[in-house]
Amino acid sequence: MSVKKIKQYGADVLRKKSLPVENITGKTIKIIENLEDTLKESKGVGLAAPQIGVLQRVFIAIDPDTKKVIKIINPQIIESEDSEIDIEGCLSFPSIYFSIKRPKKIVIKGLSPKGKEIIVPVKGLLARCFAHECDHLDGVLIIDYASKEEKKHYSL
Amino acid sequence: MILQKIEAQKGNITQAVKKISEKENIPAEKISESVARGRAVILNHKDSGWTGIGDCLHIKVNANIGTSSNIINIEEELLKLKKSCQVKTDTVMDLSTGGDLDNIREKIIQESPVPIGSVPIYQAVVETIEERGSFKFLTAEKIFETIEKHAKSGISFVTVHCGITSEALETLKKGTRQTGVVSRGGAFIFSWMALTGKENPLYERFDRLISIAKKYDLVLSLGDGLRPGCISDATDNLQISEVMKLGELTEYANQEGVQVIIEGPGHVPINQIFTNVQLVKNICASAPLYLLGPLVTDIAPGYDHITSAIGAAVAGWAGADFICYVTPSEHLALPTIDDVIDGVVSAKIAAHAGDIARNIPGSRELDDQISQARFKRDWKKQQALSINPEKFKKVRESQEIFSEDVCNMCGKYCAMKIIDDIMKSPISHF
Ligand code: SF4
Ligand SMILES: [Zn+2]
Repeated sequence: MSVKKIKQYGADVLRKKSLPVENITGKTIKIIENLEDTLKESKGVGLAAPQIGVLQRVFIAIDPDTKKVIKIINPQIIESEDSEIDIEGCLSFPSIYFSIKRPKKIVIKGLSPKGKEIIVPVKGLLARCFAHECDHLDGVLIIDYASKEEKKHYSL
Repeated sequence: MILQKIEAQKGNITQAVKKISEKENIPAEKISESVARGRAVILNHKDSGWTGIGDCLHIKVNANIGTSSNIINIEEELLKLKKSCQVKTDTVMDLSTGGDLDNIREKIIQESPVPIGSVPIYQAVVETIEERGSFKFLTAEKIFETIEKHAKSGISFVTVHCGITSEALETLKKGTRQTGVVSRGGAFIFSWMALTGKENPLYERFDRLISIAKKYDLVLSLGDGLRPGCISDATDNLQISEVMKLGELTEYANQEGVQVIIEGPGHVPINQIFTNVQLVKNICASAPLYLLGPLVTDIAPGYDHITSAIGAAVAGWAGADFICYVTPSEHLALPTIDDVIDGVVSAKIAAHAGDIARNIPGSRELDDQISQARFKRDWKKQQALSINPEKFKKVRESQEIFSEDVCNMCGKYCAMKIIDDIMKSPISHF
């Protein structure tokens, strides 16, 4: 249980593919607790394990309306609907924002920390967040969506 | 009949002072002290509607209505009364010079929720001309009788041009002014004096005025017959010598427990407004100052509600207490209903700007409230708080409303909305 330093763009770990969690153990729970502490400290909406240097398919998000923390292990997007472009930031890219097209609604399948299979339908901001976190688990980052002009703007 | 000033001097808080204190949210003791010292006056309207004017109070606005010798339509004038009260004028003056003057005045007083003022010399002159062909036959008796008749019929304050003297007439004859005398009452009195060789009875027999005022607690608004009527004539010897006379008379009225207001210019360049206000206040024992504008330029006929509001805002800041509206028709025609509304609203804006500058309690708060509603794009609240809600609605609804969240000025690029949104929900980080 501690606040971790969030890995910043350039760190190798952010580009690696995370491994599925085979067995949910005390170690898994600890990762989730660390994610939670770190996210709360950062004022972000979601955080994926590679962002704190752990290559495991785990992410968490805070529902902005209910303030409830959603924790998902081995997530899989099973449905996605519509799309919209909005400005998006990443905790691993301070002060850099890109316009990114994401689904308006998605349904995610995964495991709860108790190992129960869960199916979570989300829309709007949370749908954007879930899609963003799933990208992290595959080593995909927001810069991969940026146009030439946007990259030039930030001298990236 | 209780005299407000005498009661205040005795240290009694009258019902009128209490009512004004409640209405304006200003301590009754403070108001009473101002009244006692002649720095504020209380206009009595039918023993129930009281309006305070003076240093510690909100700046008040007057709307002039009334028939002219060319256009006589009582219904129209009564509608002007109604409309000007709807946009919250504080007082109305009946300046009628055409038709059955007693009847018009009585009707206006009867229908008005606010104190009514008048210029009795108009009626005295009009009737003398009608009866005897020329106003050179006007008598002092007729003037005082008419003043008393007005007071008796429920008039709250009268303009009396007491500061005009034969000495001033001699100076006037030298022709140093571009526009001579622009006050109607002043012009009547000067011509009468020129025709008869007599002194102004309102000056010579000021004591008679004082006794009428005492009988009815009538507020005397000491008229500025020599107010400058153009930028070139502002702050000249004629204007200032009249103010000096008014200063003497104010002192006398104060001793007698009679409430007085001092009327002021006219046309004054903006850089001379502070000087004018301070001069009059200093010379006239800080009595409430009633200004016609002042208009800050002569070049804008058709827009003189604006030229006067500019002057009135600065004058209010400098210490003027009472602002007579000027309508877009000034210098051109008898004002229409719409002119009256524009005139009152323009003067109210100036008065409020003055209140803000003078830190009159409760003034700035109104701006803060409407600004908050504006930032939230709360149109209902903005309308309710705006100086003329009817106009607000009319303008907003004059075009198709595409979104409740913005107006058509910037549409989807509404600066307020962009910033409001970003502050409410900053860019999300994942
Ligand atoms: S659209 Fe422009 S003018 Fe209208 S409320 Fe927004 S910022 Fe103000
Ligand atoms: Zn991210």
